Amino acid sequence: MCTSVEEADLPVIFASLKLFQVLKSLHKENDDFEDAWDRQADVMHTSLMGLLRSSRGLSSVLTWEYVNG
Amino acid sequence: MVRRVPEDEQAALAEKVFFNEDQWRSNLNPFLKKAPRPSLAISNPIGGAVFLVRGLQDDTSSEEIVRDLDGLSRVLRMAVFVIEFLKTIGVLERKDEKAANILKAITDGSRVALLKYLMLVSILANDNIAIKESNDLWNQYSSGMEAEMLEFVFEAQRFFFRSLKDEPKPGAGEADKIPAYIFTLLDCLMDISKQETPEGFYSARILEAVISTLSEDRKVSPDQSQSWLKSIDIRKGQDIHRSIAILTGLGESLERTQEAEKLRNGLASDITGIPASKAGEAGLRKIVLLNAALPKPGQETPPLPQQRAIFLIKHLLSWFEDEAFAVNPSHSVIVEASKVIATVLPVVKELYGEHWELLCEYVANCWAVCLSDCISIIIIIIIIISVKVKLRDRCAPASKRQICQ
Repeated sequence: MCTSVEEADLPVIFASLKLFQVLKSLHKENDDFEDAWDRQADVMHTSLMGLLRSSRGLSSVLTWEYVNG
Repeated sequence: MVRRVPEDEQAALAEKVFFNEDQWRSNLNPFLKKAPRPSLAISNPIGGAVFLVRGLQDDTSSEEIVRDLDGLSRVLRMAVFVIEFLKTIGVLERKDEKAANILKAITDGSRVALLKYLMLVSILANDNIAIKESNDLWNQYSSGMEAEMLEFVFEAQRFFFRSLKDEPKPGAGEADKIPAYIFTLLDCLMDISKQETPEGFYSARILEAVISTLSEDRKVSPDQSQSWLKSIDIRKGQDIHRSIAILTGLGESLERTQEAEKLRNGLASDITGIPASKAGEAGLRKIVLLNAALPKPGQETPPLPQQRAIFLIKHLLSWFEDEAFAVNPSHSVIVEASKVIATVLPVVKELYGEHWELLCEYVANCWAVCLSDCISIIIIIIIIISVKVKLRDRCAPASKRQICQ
């Protein structure tokens, strides 16, 4: 179980993933944004993958969710 | 037993079955002193209001919570008993007109207490399902118990929302037909939600549910909405939980009005005047309010004029570039700032500038902040979303939105 300090991360991840989703949907709207997206894509990818990798057991939960609808 | 007594005595007997204010309060007290968990920012309808709860006593050991052998607290057993009673006499399924009359015959005070406390216990139960151990309304956890509690939340909230929907809609040119006991309930919730305490927070959640239900049923006149909004100086952050509940509850009916547009502009302007050193206090309060006043993503209403939106985004990003703030960034400010930016971003999608690079860095930094912390957080997010989906699916036929939020 997370401690109270760690639990403070939950809403941060939730809100930042939603923001990421909005950014991703808009990144081809203008050249500046597209260039910035391309330059930062690796950083964002590495950071997101790091977050996913650090969540041990995630794959089993996803499987359980998939099986149980 | 209630049915067997003469009709003129039924109401008095029913009032005893529904418990009185003192009985509810004394058994709820330990739960109303406990800090709501910050992760409730994800799953509760008034979102970031959870970050503004003050005066917490995060230790309930001073007041013993009476539990049964299954770990159910006494107040939960009271609420479950009342729901079972309402089910048995046919009120929940509306099978029996006489049973419905029993409710109408009890005093307004008893009816208000019944609705308020049933909803409050159901909200606590919902939180304890979404985030295990968040309030320990029951403290023995199993899938069987979770199913029972889901059933209880569903039935309690169905009763609550149906009680609000029972009265007829006003005809053209008619005054609101909100019955007196609902006005009493509203007054009571408006008063308690002035507090920035856990009880104020939970009352604001009930208030939001009442206002959104009445508003969607067109039982709230524009004059009524105006009088609620004028009763508080929202931009000054007065009665903040109450303000958030009113803004969120009025929702779509408010967001297209000039008053809402003026309020959103005012709040955005206030935020751009707040330095990073005050972001965690004054800044947070204003952003939570702005999030409550902004249209929900996907709505046609433009959240802010383009220039105002870009100033706001740049200013919010500047807080995170401030050295002192960046060393130990406030998680609640990150959450609320991310929500505001996600909502207003489509307005500025055509604008060129360096803010796009900063935004991408900001998102990566949010995840980096979290990397050093808990390893199982995403699993919990998936579980919260899963519970929400299950509840929504169950409740969908009864109401499109309100139940189980």
